[in-house]
Order: sequence, then structure tokens, then C-alpha cells
Amino acid sequence: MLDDTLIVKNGTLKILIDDKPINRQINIQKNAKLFHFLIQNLNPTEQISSENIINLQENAYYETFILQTDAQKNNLKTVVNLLEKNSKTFIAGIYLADQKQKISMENIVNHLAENTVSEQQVRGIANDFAQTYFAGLINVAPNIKKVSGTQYHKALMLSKTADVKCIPELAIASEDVKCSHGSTIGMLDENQIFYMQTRGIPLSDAQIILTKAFIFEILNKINDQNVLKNFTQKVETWLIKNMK
Amino acid sequence: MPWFKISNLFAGTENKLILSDFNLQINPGEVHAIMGPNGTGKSSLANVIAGNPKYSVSSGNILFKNIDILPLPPEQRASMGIFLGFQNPIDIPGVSVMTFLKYAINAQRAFNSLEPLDAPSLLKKVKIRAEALGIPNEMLKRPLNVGFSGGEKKRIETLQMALLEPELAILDEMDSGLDIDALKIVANGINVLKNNNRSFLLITHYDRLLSYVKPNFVHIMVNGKIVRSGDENLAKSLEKNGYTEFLNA
Repeated sequence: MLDDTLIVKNGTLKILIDDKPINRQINIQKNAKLFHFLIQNLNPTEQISSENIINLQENAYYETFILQTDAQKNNLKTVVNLLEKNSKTFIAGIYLADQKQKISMENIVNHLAENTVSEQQVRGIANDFAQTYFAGLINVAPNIKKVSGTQYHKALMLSKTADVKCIPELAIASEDVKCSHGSTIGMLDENQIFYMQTRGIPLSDAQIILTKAFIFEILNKINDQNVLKNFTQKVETWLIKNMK
Repeated sequence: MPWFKISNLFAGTENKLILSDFNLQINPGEVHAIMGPNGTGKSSLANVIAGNPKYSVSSGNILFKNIDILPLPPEQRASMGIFLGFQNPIDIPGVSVMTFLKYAINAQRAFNSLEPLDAPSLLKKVKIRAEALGIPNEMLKRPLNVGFSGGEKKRIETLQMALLEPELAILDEMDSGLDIDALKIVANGINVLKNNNRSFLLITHYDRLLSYVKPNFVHIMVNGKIVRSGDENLAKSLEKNGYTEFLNA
């Protein structure tokens, strides 16, 4: 199943940009850092499924930004194993689905050593008859101390015919653990729209501004300006198409 | 012809009539205060004037500058010069105060067939007003109202009002949640905007704000309508005697 194995060597920093789905195993060695951007450019009729497994050694860091919006059917699974102490991960995911697309994002974080930290921030938008599925799991092994894990997922439905499912999960077999998670699914907030209208902002503009802000709250965490530009372009193209 | 006039207005939410035969007339340059106990319809009135779709009007009308505003969407009422200062300003995550101000100012300019304000002019304008209200630059970069204290939110409402330069400003409990220093700043923010063409409708529980912003008229509202009108002495007597006599009337 594996297309590629990547090793990020001791104490190094690597930036990896994937524009096609790849099944990969990545080992991030002691004190190393990987910034991984997944911006998949795919044909609208494709049906794809891919998986990334990331293993972190002591004091290693894995940060990923995922944008899933292409293909007819698009499944992506990310498994992060925090194998050794002081390893840390930040997973930011965005999915945008319209028409009859089926998009599934699954994130699994396994805390297997003490002093490990994970954060997941996921935003999704579903329009038309799209079906989306998000599953997030924070797994803390027994007898592991000083763990911090957070997982937040928010989905926005632009149409009542869209189908949004989400399964946020915590599996904690240890004490001395700080974990929090939250998931919301809803339409645009009427109070926010009215507030903006009372300032003279037309209804359709208010809807676009709020939808864009919903995604850019996550996107703006990307520090690399070139990557941010690519992500922004793809998100804006989708928003223009879906928010006429 | 009156400048702003509400006539025989009946309005409410889906299941409940809240405003019942409500009448009010405001002329340019006047400051009106509406006081009344909780749940009497003061905030509903503000929302109906601003066009909140959660409320529906069953009869009556609201004329502003000779136009019946009830069929108009909220953004058009705003661009015609009606501003609503919220009792509980809404959080807009992901949109900074500065960006929000740009959207609002330029939306109203577009409605009134004016060119959008360029970035340097906008920034200059915002900074002058913000400084007067004690709003630091840092706050302008934060997402609108997200994590702001009660006092900060009311200052930002006042800033928006100052920049949008409305002709009729309806301020819903601008004094709630403010300590005395913040109250003075907000009151001063209102006072500097007073002129012969701009009117205010202040909705409040207490005469606290009214000791800083002098009203020309004070109205007591009970069960969805005005039951007594007078000058600022009416507010003072309320502070002493409460609403009991009006409730039992």
C-alpha cells in the first residue's frame, strides 16, 4: 500500500508539499520538524483514498495543513503516533464539498509517551448534495503522564440537502491528561448576519464574508506565504463558485 | 412632514405580540430616551426599527425622511442613516475590527453612490476616532468583539457609530456593563456626535447615562407602548420611585 517512506533526520527541518494523494509513512527523528502541506489538485471524476502515518521521536514536531476539495470521492486518513516524550503535533484540516462529492477526513492521534501535545482544528463546508464525514480521535495509552490533546471541528452547511456527519472521540486510559474537544454543525449565524446588515453590509456580502472568515481563521495560521497563496486561491475559487 | 415617525405600530415575534399601538416622533437634533422595566419591549422596538427579520410587523408604519422603511432590508435602513448600537454586540470571528469597519463604511458609501475610501484615508479616520475613545491600535487588529470585555464592546459600538455618522442612532442599553470611567468615555463619544441634524434614541433602564447625555424627551414604556412622556425630570423621578405607578396604571 505504501507509495513512499520519508525520514526527517535528527535536528533537521523539512517542508513537504503534496499536490497529489500519496500513501506515506513518515518518521520524524529526535528534535526534527516537519511542515506538511496537502493541497490536492485532482480531476472531478476521480475516486481516491490515501493515508499518511507519521511517527514522532523525542521532541519532534509535525505540523500539517490539509485542504480536501477535489475529486468525486476523496478519503484521507492521517495517523500521528507521538512515540516519544515531548513530541508535538498540530493538524489543521479544511474540507469543502459541493454537488455530489463525498469527502471524508479521518485524524487519529496516539499519545504514546509523556509530555506529548496534540491540537486538531478542522473546518468544513458542505453545499448542494455533498456528503462529508469527519472522524477525529485522541487516543491516550495507559500510564502516560502530562498529556495535552485538543480537537475542534466545525462544519457549515450552505444547503439543507447536504449531509454532514462527524464522530469526535476521546479514548483516554490514563490520568494526568488534559483533553478537550468540541464539534458543531450548523448554518450561518443569523445574529451575525443581522449585525452586519445593521452596519450597511448587504445580506449576500455578509454571507460571503462570514463563510470566508470561517475558513480563514484556520488558513491564516499558515506562515509560509507561498503556500498560503496557493491554499487561498483554491479556497477562494471554491467560495466564488458556491456563493453566487 | 415629520422626519422620523412611528405610527400605530403592532409588532412581535412569531408567537408573541410585543409592540402594541406604539407611537413616537423624533425631529432632527433631538435626543430621546426610552425607559421601562425589563421585558416591556424596548429592545424589540430597536430591532424592529433596524429591521431584524426575527420580528414581524402586523400593522402600522415607520417613516424616515418620508420613506416607509418597513419593506426595506436592514442594510438599506442602515445606509439611509439609521444605526443600531447593540445591547450585546455580536462576535464576528475571523474578521478584524479594522476589516469590518472597512466593509461597513464602504458598503454604505457604495449605497450612497460614493467611491470607496482608500486604505490610508480609512486608517487615518479610524485612528483619530479610536484614540478619542481610548481604543488601542492592537484592538483594531483583533477579531470583532471576540473575547472583548463589556466595556470594550461598547467602545467599539461607539467607534462604529462615530465612523458611520448616522442621522438616527438607536443605542440599546449602551450603559449596561460599564464601569463609571467607561460610561464617561462612551457618553462623551455620544456627546461629540450631537448636532442639529443627528438624533439619538437612547434605550436604558436607569438615568445613569442620562446624567451624562442630556435628553430632550424621556418616555416611559410599559407593555409595548409609551405610557408617559416628559423631560429629564421624569427620569429622575423614576430613579426615586421606580416603575410601580406605571405598571399599576
